[in-house]
Amino acid sequence: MTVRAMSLFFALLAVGANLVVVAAVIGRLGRAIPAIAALRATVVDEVRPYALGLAAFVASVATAGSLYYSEVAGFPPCTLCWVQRGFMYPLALVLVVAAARGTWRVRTGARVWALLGGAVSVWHLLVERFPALEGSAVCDPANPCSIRWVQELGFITIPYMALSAFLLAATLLWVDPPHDQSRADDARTETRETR
Amino acid sequence: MATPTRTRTRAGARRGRSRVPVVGIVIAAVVALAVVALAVTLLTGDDQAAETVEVADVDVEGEALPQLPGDGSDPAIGSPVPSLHGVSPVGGPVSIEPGDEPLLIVVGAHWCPHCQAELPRVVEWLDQGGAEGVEVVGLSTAADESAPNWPPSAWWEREGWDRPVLVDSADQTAAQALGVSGYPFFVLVDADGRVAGRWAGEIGTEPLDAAIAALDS
Repeated sequence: MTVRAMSLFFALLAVGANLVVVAAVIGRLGRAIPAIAALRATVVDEVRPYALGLAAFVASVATAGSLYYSEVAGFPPCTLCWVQRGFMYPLALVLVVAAARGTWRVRTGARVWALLGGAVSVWHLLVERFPALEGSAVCDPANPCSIRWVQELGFITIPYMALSAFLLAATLLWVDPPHDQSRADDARTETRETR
Repeated sequence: MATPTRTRTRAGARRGRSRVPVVGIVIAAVVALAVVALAVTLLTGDDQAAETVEVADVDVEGEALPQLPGDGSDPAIGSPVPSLHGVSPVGGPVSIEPGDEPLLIVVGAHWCPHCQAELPRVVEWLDQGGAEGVEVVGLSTAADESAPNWPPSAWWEREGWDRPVLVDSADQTAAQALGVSGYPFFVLVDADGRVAGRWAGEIGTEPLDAAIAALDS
């Protein structure tokens, strides 16, 4: 696939992530409405066993996409890109390990971590939109953060993709663990405490 | 002892496994999006520039100007500006050299967001009669096919730039000869062929107006 095709693919994934997050927000806000509450409960129950794994998958795809852009497409990461990588890469690693081990206890910390990464993405989006926020009116030939290496569907840039991934991962990490998994985690903790 | 924060009475939660093939749905959705992306890309194709020149060799006559420092000073003021000879995006010869009238060189990089913001302002200023009595030329530099807003010639044209444009070389020979320190960049040359002012960044058009007015006085 060409860089253009890959960018469009990542952009479509971002749109899909946005739809899931918006649906989750609507489900949360509209839970007083019986129909929405029932649908939300059904969807959450179906997703629950896989939520941690899906969050790991989202962070891993975002990590792979980031590496694709820098190592295959040849887009040099700017400073803010590196900061977002600093949030996304460890998130992917921790979630993959947690999903493999079935350790749901990481989800609160990982959720906060993802939201912090998302905050950096928001700042990067603002810098893209308002280059003067970089504190300079001059383009440094050495790659300012305001360059939009990718712009798909008219508005989806690389930090937008990162923000979408952070938000989707955080949303999935909001899902409570399966009941038996909670008990397993509690049992692990109790075992540790009695040693 | 841990107390569940919520009572989960639903079957899925009790069983800890889903009745819906969630993983299968996710994989199918991802594959479908990949197919859509590939199909759209194949059907629409990449926008290729018409036969235009985006990078070309530039010959420099004269001594290169020192790079513009960032402290507000300019050691090049009063220095003779080098002559630059190359081609336009359509392949015709273009020279940037002092003549009988003052000269304003507008340097822009297609991928630079500050250039993208500044060029329309400069075009509007020129359309409204700015730089009257001054020859104005563009210098398209730092062209990078992998960078956004490619090709540069289409960008200059899209913004309504109707003055000559010199295409810089891959190693930015012309920009270096003018002492460019960042983009966008402006060089004002007086009628004697000497540097009257240089500016880097989004400066608006007021400094140019003032400097051109000072040439007349």
